[in-house]
Amino acid sequence: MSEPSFDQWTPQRPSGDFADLTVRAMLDMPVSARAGRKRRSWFGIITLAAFLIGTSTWAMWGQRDAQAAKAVGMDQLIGPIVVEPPPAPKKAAVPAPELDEIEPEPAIKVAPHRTAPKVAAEVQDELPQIVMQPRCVCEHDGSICSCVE
Amino acid sequence: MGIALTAAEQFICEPQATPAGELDAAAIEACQRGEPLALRRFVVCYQNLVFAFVSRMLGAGPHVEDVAQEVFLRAYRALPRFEMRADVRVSTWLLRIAVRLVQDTRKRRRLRTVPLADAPAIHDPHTPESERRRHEIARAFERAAAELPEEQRLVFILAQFHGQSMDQISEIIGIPANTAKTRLFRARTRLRELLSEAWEEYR
Repeated sequence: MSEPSFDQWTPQRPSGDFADLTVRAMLDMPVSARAGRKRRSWFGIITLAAFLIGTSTWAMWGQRDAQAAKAVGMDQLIGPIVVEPPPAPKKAAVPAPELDEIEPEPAIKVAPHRTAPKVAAEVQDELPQIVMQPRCVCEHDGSICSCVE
Repeated sequence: MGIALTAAEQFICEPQATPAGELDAAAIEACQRGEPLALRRFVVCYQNLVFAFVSRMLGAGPHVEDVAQEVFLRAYRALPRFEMRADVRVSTWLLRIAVRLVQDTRKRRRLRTVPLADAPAIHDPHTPESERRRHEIARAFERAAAELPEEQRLVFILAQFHGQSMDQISEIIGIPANTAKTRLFRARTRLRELLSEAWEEYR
């Protein structure tokens, strides 16, 4: 079997006036279409792109600064956060001098209704049940007190 | 009856051609200045090259002239940037432009091709019988080439008909030289298979 010769693949040829028509088309081409002008237009595009990137970056940073400033303002408004320890529970015991003011009397002799108003005035703002150790225990309204010798 | 393009047919550039059949630096500089005569010489010098490449890649038809002209117009636009160096061939630069344009054209639209017998041709002195045979063989080649994947056809045409080395093809298409070599081997093998029957019939 013989080998095909690839050279038999003949191409299409140009028509006789192809060169003239093509040169005419070249010369009719606007000067701006040629590479020199094109390079300048590319320069313009690059300059425009750089300007846009610059302004958008500037705007972005400006916005970021504004947000940062706003955050500082809020801090100032709120003030520093301080964690305080919980208040210590109030002691039930009445200070000793007050206790000393109550003159203990024999339990049998002191009638509760006669001493209650005096004790109530002293322990008005104290806890509901006040233990006045070591000698007296009163109800919150001072109506009943019992004292131990 | 070999009628393939020879180097002399591809480059009608004398007397301003380099030994490689290319326009010399002075001629290119005149083109860059936009001198009409120089531009005409440039087109005449490379038109067969461009037509051959475009028609083999896209198939013969009226579109070939349009695409070929667009190749020259793009080259003209890019001429001010073209730097004539010892290692740069104008034909390789033009082929690179043509490859891109052909690829764009194939993506953009389906082309209506016509048999080579109906395509415009330069007058040649063959007898009507040899002419008929020539067209039949050329059609057989077109059908066989149409069977090839485009990347194989591209490498085959650049290597077989335009004398481009693997390195040059690699540069034109942007693929490794070994890949180009593999594609060329596969294209030749496939074309031999496809053409063997037709070749027996027409010889």
